[in-house]
This record gives sequence, C-alpha cells and structure tokens, in this order.
Amino acid sequence: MVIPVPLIISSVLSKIGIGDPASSAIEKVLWNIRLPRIILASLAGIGLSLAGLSFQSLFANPLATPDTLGVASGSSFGACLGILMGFSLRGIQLMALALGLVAVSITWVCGRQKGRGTTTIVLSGIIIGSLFNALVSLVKYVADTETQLPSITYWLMGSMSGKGYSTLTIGSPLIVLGIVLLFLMRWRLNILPLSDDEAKASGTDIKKLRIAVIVIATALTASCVSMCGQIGWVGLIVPHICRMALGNSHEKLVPSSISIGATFLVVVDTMSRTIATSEIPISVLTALLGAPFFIVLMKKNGGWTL
Amino acid sequence: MSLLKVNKGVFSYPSGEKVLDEVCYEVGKGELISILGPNGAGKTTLLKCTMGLLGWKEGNSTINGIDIRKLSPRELFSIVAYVPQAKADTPNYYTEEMVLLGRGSRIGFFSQPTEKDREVVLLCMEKLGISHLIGKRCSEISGGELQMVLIARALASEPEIIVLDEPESNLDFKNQLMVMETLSNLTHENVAVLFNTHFPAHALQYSTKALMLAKNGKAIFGNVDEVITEENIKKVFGVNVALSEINTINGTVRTVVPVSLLKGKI
Repeated sequence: MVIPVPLIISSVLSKIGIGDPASSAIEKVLWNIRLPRIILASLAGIGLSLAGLSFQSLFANPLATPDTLGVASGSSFGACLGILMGFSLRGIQLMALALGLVAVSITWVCGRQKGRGTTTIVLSGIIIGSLFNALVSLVKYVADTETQLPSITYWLMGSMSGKGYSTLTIGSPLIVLGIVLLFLMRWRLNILPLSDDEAKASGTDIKKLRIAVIVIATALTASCVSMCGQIGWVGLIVPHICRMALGNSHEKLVPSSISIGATFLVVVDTMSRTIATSEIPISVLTALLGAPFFIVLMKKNGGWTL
Repeated sequence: MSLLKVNKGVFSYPSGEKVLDEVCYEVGKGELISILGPNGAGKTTLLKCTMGLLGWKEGNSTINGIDIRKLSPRELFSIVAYVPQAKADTPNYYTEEMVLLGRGSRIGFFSQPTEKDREVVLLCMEKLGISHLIGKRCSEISGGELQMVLIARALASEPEIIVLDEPESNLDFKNQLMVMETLSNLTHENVAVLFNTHFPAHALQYSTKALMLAKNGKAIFGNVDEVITEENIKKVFGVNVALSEINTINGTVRTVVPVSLLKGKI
C-alpha cells in the first residue's frame, strides 16, 4: 500500500492534536506496521554497523565483522536451537546472545596472535563460522518439516516484515544500551587498534576495555539476529564508508556509523518491499547493493587501512 | 630522592633463563639516561619492566619512593610516557588524533577530550616543529616524522619521565639529530628521558648517565664517562672500539668508532 506523504504528515499532526486522523486502515498501517518496521530497520542498521566497527578496531583488522568472526553464525545457531526447542522470543534472544559469545570467544582464542592486524583472527573466524553454519544445517535437518523448518529457513534469510512492537521489545533495549555505551566511550575506542603496550601506556585498562567492547558488539549482533535474522554486509560496508570519508577516529566513526547504518538499512528495507510485487529477502539486497558500491568506493579511496 | 628507581630488578622467561639479573639504576629529574647493549640483551625488556608493562620476577621499580605496582595505570602513566619503536603498521589516524591519544591518562573513561586537551596537542606538535603534519594521516608521513608524532603523543600526557625504545633507529642523520636534540631540550624543562640506543656516540654526546646491559643480564650503571669506556664496550659487545674526541664546528665532540671484532669471537 502506498501512503502519500501529505497523508502521513496530516496523520502525524493529528497525533499532536492538529487536524483529523486519516482513515482507520491507513492509520493502522502507518502506526502499527510501518513505524515499528522503520524503527526495527534503523536499530538493526545501527546495531550491525556499530558491531562491525567495534570488531574491526578491536582486532585492528578491516575484515573483522560479525559475519567474518563467526558471531553471526553462532547467534544464528543459538536462535535456531531456540526455535527447535520451542522457546519464547526472549529465550531465542538469550540463546542467540550466548552462542554468539561462545563463537567469538572460540574465534579469539584460536586466532589470537602477537602483534596487531593479524589475518589469523579472520581465518579463525571463518572456520568457526562454517562450524556453526554446519550446526545450523544439522538443526534444520532434525527440525520438524511442517512447522519448524519453514520458520527457521524464513528467519535465516533475514526479514523485517511482520514484526510489530512485540518483536521490538525483545532486542531494542540491548541495542539502545549498546549504542549509548559505545557513544559515551567513543574517544576511548581509539585506544583499541594500538599495540598492547601502547594501549596500556595510555593509562587504559586494555583488558577490561576489550572485554567490554567484545560483549557489547556481540550483544548488538545477537539482538539484531534474534529480531530479524542474519543480515550480512551491513557491518562491513557501513563502517568502511565512514572510515573512507572521515578517517579512523571513533569520535567521528561512532556518530556517523549510527546515522549511516540506520539510513542504509531503512532504505534497503524499503526497496526490498517495493521494487517487486513480492518482498525480496533483505540480505539479498544488502549484498547486491553493497558489493558494487563498496568496490567503487574502495577503488577510489583505497580504504583498507585502519 | 630520585624520581624513578629500579631496585635489584630480576626478569626471567618461563623457561628459567635470566634476562635481567639484579639490575639497579635510578633516574633523577631532568636527566637523560641512555641504555646500551648488544642485540637480544634485553634492553626493551628492561624498559618494559621498569615501567610495569612487564612484571619483575624479583625487585621492583619505584617512582618518588612508591612501588609502581601500587599505582593505578592512570596514575602511573600520567607520570611516565612511553614511546615504542615506530613501526609501519601504526594505526592510520590523522597525526593530531594520534597525538591526542597521549591524553588518555588524563581523560575519563566515558569522557571526550576538552578544548584544553586539544590545545595541549597543538602546543606539543608546535614545540616539536611538526605543526605542518596536522591533517595528514600517519600512513602518509615519513619514518622520521612518525617518530616525532609518537614523541609528541608522549609529551601530550605532560609526563615527568619519558621512556623511548630506540627512538633514532632507522632514521637518517638529520632525523637522528632532530630526535636527539628534541630529547635533550626536554631535559631542560625538567623532564627525565630514558632511552635505548644502538649508538654509543649519542649516549656520549647527549646523556648524563648510561646503563650498559650485558648478555648475562648484568648491568653497569653510572656516569657516561665511567660506563662507556673502551674496556666496557669490549667486554659487553665483544668488539674493539676507539673512543676519541674530534674537533667540529660546534667544538669537540666525543665519539666511538668500532674497530674490529675480538679474536675468537666470530
């Protein structure tokens, strides 16, 4: 359904007591379907972007993202397991969070090496990711083909549709908390890519900072995954767009990742439900749009440095 | 009382091999102290142990008489600043952002830098003559310039002691002189400077005291003239050297020239 802009404006105005509301059908679509969907897309966009940004800086590696570190796969496995065991939405989220943390911990332990910017962390992440993807397949294999399998499959593709305020209450508190914390410590995040000794010599308890950031970034990823499934690419593209434009200081990267991340996913989600008669899975679109856009930017700016 | 003091510091690897054996030395306000020693003798380890980045097995370091283990990282590193070896894989911040990181021990965990912090950064960069690097990324500048940026970062924390790991290695003559002159100037402002070097000539020319670290972990510490002697260098480095004064446009300068390897030591 297309709702013209003037109608939206008058409906918003009617909420604050100016003019009359639109027809009840339009009101319902606008406030109970579209608005929660936009909020969900914004929050997921911000969450995934900030998680990607944090992981890149944490491991001083431009390729470290929720996807490449196995966090997203771990969270997905947790959520699938939750669906399989018939958990509530809250239970599914907790499972996603727990398994996300397990995945990133294994990746960290296996891939940790002396020095900064090592590639082994991503290599290890890819291995752990595929391990958890295999476990997801296993869950699908044993899932009930009538009821559980379709919901797992649909959910894995990632979608913003059919999610009301009830879905929002599951993941958004953690996402908002994560955004606030990262925003407050945005300058301190600049310490992350330094070598251990330099980081310590800046008077920072680097161990605590790393653990805090890894927990926040994983919570952001898991919350997004538990609300709208696996949406790839956002955590890689958005931080890099910001890095190429503004440099590597988190004073600028955190606010810009928030605004670009939200805008990006709202735009992509709007396209996913409007360009064809039936909705296109959002992760298909993020890849189709993100890859070429990213390649162009990269060729132009050589934006791989961190 | 000396500003920084190391008391019988012992450090060994988990394998049990002693790297530093009862090392003692002290640093007073405004002193410039150079640490010399062959490759692998543990010069970097000594610096790291001294400022608590690595833990002593025995002995301790004190600042103004207080064991540094009793200080919080924030307290410790607002007195001591560290300049690591400049490496190519330094994070690619803009130079002024990099220097601002030196304010870390003076900015709260959830706080942002204030105008005052940014002023200190500009002042430090100006003092080192690198204001022209503002707006450039660390990947775009030369090794010598990066070294100056890292020194500026250390200065930005307004430290009483600045510790540098081979600050003038890998630099050309001009940059070496710039770094050494900068360090020397700092001591005039009562900042103590402690640095590792592979150039005994720099130690002779600029420092007040020197520490020479042998492969067995023993250290010789004292006034430069007493430590950097032909005899000591022969013993510690295994080379014959000639110590001499040469006349220059700036007066006589003492220097060291390596002459030959000791026989049977090749």
